[in-house]
Amino acid sequence: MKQLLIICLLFSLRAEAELGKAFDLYLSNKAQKQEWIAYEMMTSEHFFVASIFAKRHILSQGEHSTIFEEALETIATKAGIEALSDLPDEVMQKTSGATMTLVLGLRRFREKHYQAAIDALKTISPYSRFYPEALMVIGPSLYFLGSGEDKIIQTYQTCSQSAEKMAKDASHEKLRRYYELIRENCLIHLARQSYSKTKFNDSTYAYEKITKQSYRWPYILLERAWTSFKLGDYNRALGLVATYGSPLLESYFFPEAEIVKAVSYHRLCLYDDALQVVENYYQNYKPKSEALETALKENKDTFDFFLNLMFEERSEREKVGPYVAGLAIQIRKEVKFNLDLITLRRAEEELQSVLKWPDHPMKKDVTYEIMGMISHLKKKMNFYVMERMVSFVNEIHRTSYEMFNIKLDILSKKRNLIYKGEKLVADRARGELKNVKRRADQHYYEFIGEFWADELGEYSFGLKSNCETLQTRTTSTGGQP
Amino acid sequence: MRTLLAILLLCQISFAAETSKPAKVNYQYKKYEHFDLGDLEVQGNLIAPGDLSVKDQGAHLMDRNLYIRNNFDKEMRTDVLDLR
Repeated sequence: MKQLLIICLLFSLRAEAELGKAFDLYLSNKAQKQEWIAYEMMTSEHFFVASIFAKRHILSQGEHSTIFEEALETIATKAGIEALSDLPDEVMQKTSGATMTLVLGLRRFREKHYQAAIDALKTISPYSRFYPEALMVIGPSLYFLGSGEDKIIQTYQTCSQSAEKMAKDASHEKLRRYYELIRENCLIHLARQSYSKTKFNDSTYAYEKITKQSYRWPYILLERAWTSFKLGDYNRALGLVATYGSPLLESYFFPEAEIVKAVSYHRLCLYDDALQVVENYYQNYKPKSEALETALKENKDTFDFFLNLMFEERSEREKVGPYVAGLAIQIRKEVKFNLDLITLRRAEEELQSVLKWPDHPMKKDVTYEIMGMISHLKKKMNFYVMERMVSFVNEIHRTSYEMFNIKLDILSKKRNLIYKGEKLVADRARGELKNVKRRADQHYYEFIGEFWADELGEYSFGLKSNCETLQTRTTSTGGQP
Repeated sequence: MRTLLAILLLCQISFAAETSKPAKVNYQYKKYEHFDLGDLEVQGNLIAPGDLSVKDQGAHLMDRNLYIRNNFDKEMRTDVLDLR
């Protein structure tokens, strides 16, 4: 116990000594004072304060040393890229380190200046910790520029391999998960690349490399369903979207999954089933989306309503509007929201620590800056949540239009059958195993109204295509056509 | 001449005697008659072209453009931007 107290005391004295040094430097006229204060603040684990002085150093000096680059990487990891991303373009272009290059590349990508993003990011060394992430941005940039397929595939493969290697060498769990996420993103991008080039088998193999334990897995079920649809395996497409009905995935709801269902039934000529999907969609989604839209409009100008909603009890969220509880769960699982939330909490903790400092001009300076950062983060997160909810409502509207289209098409096809005096070959029957298409390495489970975790994502319906028609009219034309 | 006049007079007298008798009328109603239109044949030569026939006029097929995904470009962008 005594030893523990001594250690705490030593740390406390050390932190005070570092703060004292930083205060002295702040009042001095030394040219390198911003850089040195940044180092002192990093040592005392005040990463947001360190980011303030690091940016001031970049603004005044431009180029920086290898040691400073290492410090920047640590700041970016602890305080987030956001803390460094408000520097002007011309300053960022002058810096050569991997951290600021990544920030610049992401900015260019956001602006859809893909060539500029590639030009910036390709300078990042394969030995940098940001190398896999840089490749993850270069790949889609090449794709959007319409570059050669081989080049894009090579980029994704290198990304996946380097991320896998860095994940193995990662010093702690969070870093390992970060690289694992990048590896999965690169594989998913590869699958999407194959899909857009109509290489659906390649796409399927790439998607199947994502394990069920992955955070990304529930999201790609929909994309896998489209891939099966494109391969003409409508039963598997139906099985994949049926997975969203599992209690484990109840917070994942995608209106587009209903389109996959309806068009799959449509392609199997099971028109009544398709119409039932359309009707269910209108009954479930439409009234709820209208109620959600009203709730969003009422609070769209608030500063932190949506952010606070994320931390409310489920019952409170449900009072705001339908889907809000489920959407909140979805958003809270998202990487971006979690990273921003961690950054926000760290910034708030650091502000509390700074407020305990003795009075000094530096304290006043950094308090003002950190409060600005916290306010900006909160606004950004609030907007992010609101945007996700608005996007969801918009998606419901778009899907409604597509559902209506499907309904019209089915009615038109049914009418034509009547005009031609034809009917479909069979009435709807239960599925059969003989109608299930599967490769040797694909599992098969019989669905008997229960979802089992190890079976998720392996379901396939066994419905027979009903597209063959029979003539129902008997004619007596006496041999005449 | 006298002979001719006498003959005419005699004919007129005999005709007048015949018309004065009441005529015997036998009414007969038309019986049910069955027409087999399919069996009717029209005699004559066909002067119109023989290959003319009436085709079924099917309803116009409305081929609607249903929503099918062709790419995941939007998701690709979002994944990159939402990593940080």
